[in-house]
Formats: sequence, structure tokens, C-alpha cells
Amino acid sequence: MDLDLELAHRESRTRFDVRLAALVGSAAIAAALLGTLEMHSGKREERAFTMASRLAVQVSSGTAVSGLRSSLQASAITQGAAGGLESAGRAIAAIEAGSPEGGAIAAAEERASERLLELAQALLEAPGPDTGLDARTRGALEATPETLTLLVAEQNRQVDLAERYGNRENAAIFGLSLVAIAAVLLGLAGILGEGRQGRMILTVATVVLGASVLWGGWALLR
Amino acid sequence: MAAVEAQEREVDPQERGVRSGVALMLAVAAVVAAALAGRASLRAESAFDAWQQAGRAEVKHGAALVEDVRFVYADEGPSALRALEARVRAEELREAARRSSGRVRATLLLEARTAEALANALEESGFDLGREAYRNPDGGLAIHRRLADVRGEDPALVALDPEAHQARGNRAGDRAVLGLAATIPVGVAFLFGALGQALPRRRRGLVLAGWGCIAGALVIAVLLEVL
Repeated sequence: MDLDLELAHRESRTRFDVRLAALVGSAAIAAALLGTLEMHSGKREERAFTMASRLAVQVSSGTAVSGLRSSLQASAITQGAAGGLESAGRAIAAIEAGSPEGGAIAAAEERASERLLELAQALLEAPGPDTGLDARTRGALEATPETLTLLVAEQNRQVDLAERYGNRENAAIFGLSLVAIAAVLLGLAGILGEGRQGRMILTVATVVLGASVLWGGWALLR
Repeated sequence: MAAVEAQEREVDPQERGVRSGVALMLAVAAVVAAALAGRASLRAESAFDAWQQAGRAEVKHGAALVEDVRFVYADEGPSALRALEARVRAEELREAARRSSGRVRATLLLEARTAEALANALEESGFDLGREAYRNPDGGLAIHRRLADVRGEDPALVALDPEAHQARGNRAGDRAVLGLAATIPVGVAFLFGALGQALPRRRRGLVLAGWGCIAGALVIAVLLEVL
């Protein structure tokens, strides 16, 4: 009778110990997994945030640079067109006044206006590598509303990514906190040993550890 | 106390050795995990620094670019255009005068000289874009060449490469994550060690498996350092 009780006690103690050991090991694995998830999410958030900031600068400088270029091009074209209108007006006035000098000046100004418009067109040409400009400067000068819209879309995407990874990182940190609580409970269960209180604490630790794993999985799916 | 010592003496020496093996394996696992986490933390810091540098370089590059373009296109450009207009007008008036005679020729030459005077005054008013050096063969403004020269006055700003810093940060960040992921097999080693303590019959195999996990983590760590 005593031998049976001793065997039953040993068997029960082994089950408790195995369960405790398995949970301690699982807590270590969960901590490593959640720590990796936290690091991954944190780094992705920083990377996306940096990209978003850089793209914001690129959009701003691209808008400013292409605006300055467009403004000068518009001035050149306006100047050429205004010269043409002026020469046409002068030609009409010269005919009405019967002034051959005025007519000659108007004709010369008309040709000058046409040449100026041709030269203004050259300002519209995209700068090539032979200009000595670096690729980034050329890219900014060539920025169009379409390319800037694409940059803005990418910038928004990076901001959304940063937010998503930031939320995931926060969730992973909470999961790690649960693992820490579970580890404390497991230590307590180990100290209390097999008994009603020990088993109860072990059950709570199991639930907390399970919650941390579920939380980590949920964070991964976010 | 004496009873415990007596019980310890009763334990098979081989069994005692295996128990020590569990303790040693767990201790090594803890040290390896700490080392891996520390190295990953350093890499993460390095990634953060590189990304910060990328951001700073982007801001500096962008600000310098806008300032250079503003100087050439907004400060020099309008005056250069007015000078160009006057120069082209003078050339056409002079060409027309060449084909004319009498009062018409005299009037055209007068207008041409007036336009030339304006062009000369504008070209000599202190901005470089209007000068002869920045004229294309067709007489147009070599504005891109002028911008390249202005940008070349501070080559360090042109040479800023935010993308290189970004790539360096991305690489360090990825390695930090992989380095920390190497602690996962160490966690498995902890599981084997703990189970080995609780399951004496399977202790030897579990300890060996634990050492295998630690070795795997170390291989990953070495590969991350070497590659």
C-alpha cells in the first residue's frame, strides 16, 4: 500500500516537473520569438519612417526646382511672344503712318521674336549627362506633376508602413511583457512545488504564456 | 543537510556528470543568448545611425539643390533672358540694316546700337549666366552648364549620397533582426535543458540536442559576421 502511494507520488511529481520544465523552455522560445518580432517591427518602422521623411524632402525640393525651371521657361516664352505681338503692332502702325523705317524695325523684331522663341524651347529640353549635372540634380529638374504624384504616393505608403510596423512593435512588446509575467509565475510555481497552490500558479502561468503566444501571432497578422 | 549530501553521494557518478552537463549547457545557452542579443543591439544602433545620416544627407542635398537652382533660374535667369532678348534684337536689326540703305538703314542701326547697349549693360551687370561663356553655339543660354558650375562650387554637397547611407542602414537592420533570430534555437536549447532536468531517462539525448541548438545559433552568428 505504501509502495503504491510512493509510486503515485513520484509519478505525479514527474508530471508537475515535466510540465514546469516544458513551460520554462517554451517561455524561453516565446521570448526569443517575440524579441525577434519586436526587433523586426522596430527596424522596419524606422526604415519606413526614414524613407517617408526622405521622400517628403524629395517631393518638396522637386516641386521647388521644377517650379523655378517652369517659371523661367514661361518667362522666356512670354518674352518671345510679347516681342512678336509688339512687332505686329509696330508693323500695322508703320503701314498706317506710311513709315518704311517702322516697317523695317517691325520685320527685324518679328525675326528676333521667332529666334527668341526657338532659344526658349532649348530651355525646355531635359539636361543630359553631358551638361556636367549629377543624376539627382537632373532628376529633380526633370520632375513633372506625374513623377511628383508617384513620389507622394510612395511617401504615403511608407508612412502607412511605419504606422503598421509601429503598432506591431507595440503588440510584440506587450507579448514580451506577458512572457515576463509567465516566467515569474513559473518561478513561483517551482518554489511552491507540487501542491494545490503550485499547480494553480502553474495553470495561470500556462494561460499567460499561451496568451503571449496568441498575442504575438495576432501582432504578426496586423 | 547531511541527508541531502548522503543522497547526492548515492547518485551514480555518470548520472551526476550528465546533470552537470545540463547545468553547463544551460549556462552556455544563457551566455550565447546574451552575446547574440548584445551584438544584435549594436547592429540595430548602427542601422539607426545610418538611417539618421540618410535623412540628414537628404535634407542637406535637397536644400543645396533648391538654393543653387533658385540662384541660377530665379536670380540670374530673368536678367540673362532680357540680355539675350536685347542681343538677338540687336543682331536682327543689324542684319536688316545690312540689307537696307538711306534713312531706313540709319534708323535700323540706331535701334541696333540701342539694343546692343542694353544687352552689354545687362551682360556686365555682375551675373555670370549672361556672359559669353554660357552661350550655346546657337546663341541660347547654356543654363544647365551654368547650374553644373554653381553646383560644382561645393562638391561635398553634390557628393552627398543619402541612398548609400539608407542601404547601409537597411543591411545593418536586417542583420540585427537575423542576429536576434539566432536566439530562437538557444531558446529551444533552454527547452531541452529544462526537460532534461525533469526527464532523467532522456536527459542525455536532450542535452545533446540542446548543444546542437547552441551550435546552430553560433553557426548563424558566425555566418552573419563573415558574410
